[in-house]
Amino acid sequence: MVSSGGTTPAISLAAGYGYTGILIAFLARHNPLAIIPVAILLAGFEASSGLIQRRMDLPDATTLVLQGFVFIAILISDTFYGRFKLFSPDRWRSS
Amino acid sequence: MSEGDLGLWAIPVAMLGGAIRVSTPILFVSLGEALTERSGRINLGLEGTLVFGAMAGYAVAFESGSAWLGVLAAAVAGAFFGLIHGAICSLPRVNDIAIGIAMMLLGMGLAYFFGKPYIQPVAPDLPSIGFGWWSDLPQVRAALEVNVLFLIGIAAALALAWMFRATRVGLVVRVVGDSTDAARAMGLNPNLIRTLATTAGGALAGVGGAYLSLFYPGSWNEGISSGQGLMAVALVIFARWNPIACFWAAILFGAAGALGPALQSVGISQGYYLFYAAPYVLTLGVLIVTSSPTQAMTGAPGELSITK
Repeated sequence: MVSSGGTTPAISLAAGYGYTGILIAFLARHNPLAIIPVAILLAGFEASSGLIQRRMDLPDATTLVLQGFVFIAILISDTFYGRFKLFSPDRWRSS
Repeated sequence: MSEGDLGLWAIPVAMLGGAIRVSTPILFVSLGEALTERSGRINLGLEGTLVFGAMAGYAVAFESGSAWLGVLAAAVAGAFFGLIHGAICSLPRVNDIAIGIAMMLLGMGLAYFFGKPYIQPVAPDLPSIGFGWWSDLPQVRAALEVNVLFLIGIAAALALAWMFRATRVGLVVRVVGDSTDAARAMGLNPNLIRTLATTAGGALAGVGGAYLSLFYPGSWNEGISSGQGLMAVALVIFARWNPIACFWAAILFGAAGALGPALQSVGISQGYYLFYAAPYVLTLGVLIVTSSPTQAMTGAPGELSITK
């Protein structure tokens, strides 16, 4: 697989910022302060795109795939909410 | 009027042709979304399914040399995406809208990732049928070059409408979409039925994607969809979850989208880019006009998370 080694024009530049933003709000559980670290993490993924293309010879969509998997994994984890005693506030309050 | 010069008549002819060409993927995606939403789930990931279906269809058509195998592959890929979305959303406390957006990013990402080697090669096109044989005008003939998938789309819209109205399957989907409690009381498994509906909806969206890459525009590249998948989701609300209305909404949207190029072809270039916004302005306008401050949206399935 030969990657173009850098720039695909405007399409990939603008695509996904808004959608990523919506998902960041979900991952931060709609907490404005939590949005800051989550946004920085996701921006880090996006910024790694150039390096991934140059060093690992992978297409620029690699970061989009990674983002998709990360979002889905974290959103699925909502289903574990309250399932484990370890994360229950009561467990820590009593000891 | 001389041969080949239609004057202002060129505008409606070009809009008709544009409506038939552009509306097919929107029709398929909105039918898939209508089916999914009637069962009580929203799948915003159909944009990703559309793009991945376009890639999968193009790749398989190129490797196998058969456009119809490509369509089949796109449907299978779309069904797979729908199945994943449906299965994940069956878990308790998982938000279907957020998962949908995540699936959209993932679908587009995977399509671009695996689609890189297929940007250059040329795959076989889907066949089309000329319905313009009665006319001598080349413009009319070109406008009435109807792709087979468009006809399949019309058949699918009629079949879905009949299914919802007159069959047991349609009734089951509607009950699950309108009331989870009633469905449970009938002994149905709402999560299973929603997952199946989402899977079938994903397959329809995948076929829409195959139309994009195998007929119009007819090649695979990363800007192939331009948000048609998301607009189709809006058009389902516009069509009030009715498959037949989905067809008219897709046609109207396609015709409005062809207004800009049609005006340009007769030499009107003033405010040319503004006409590209026509379909979106039209959708917004109709939604505003048909909205009501006093009652909920008519025809909306009761279990949808946006209307609950």
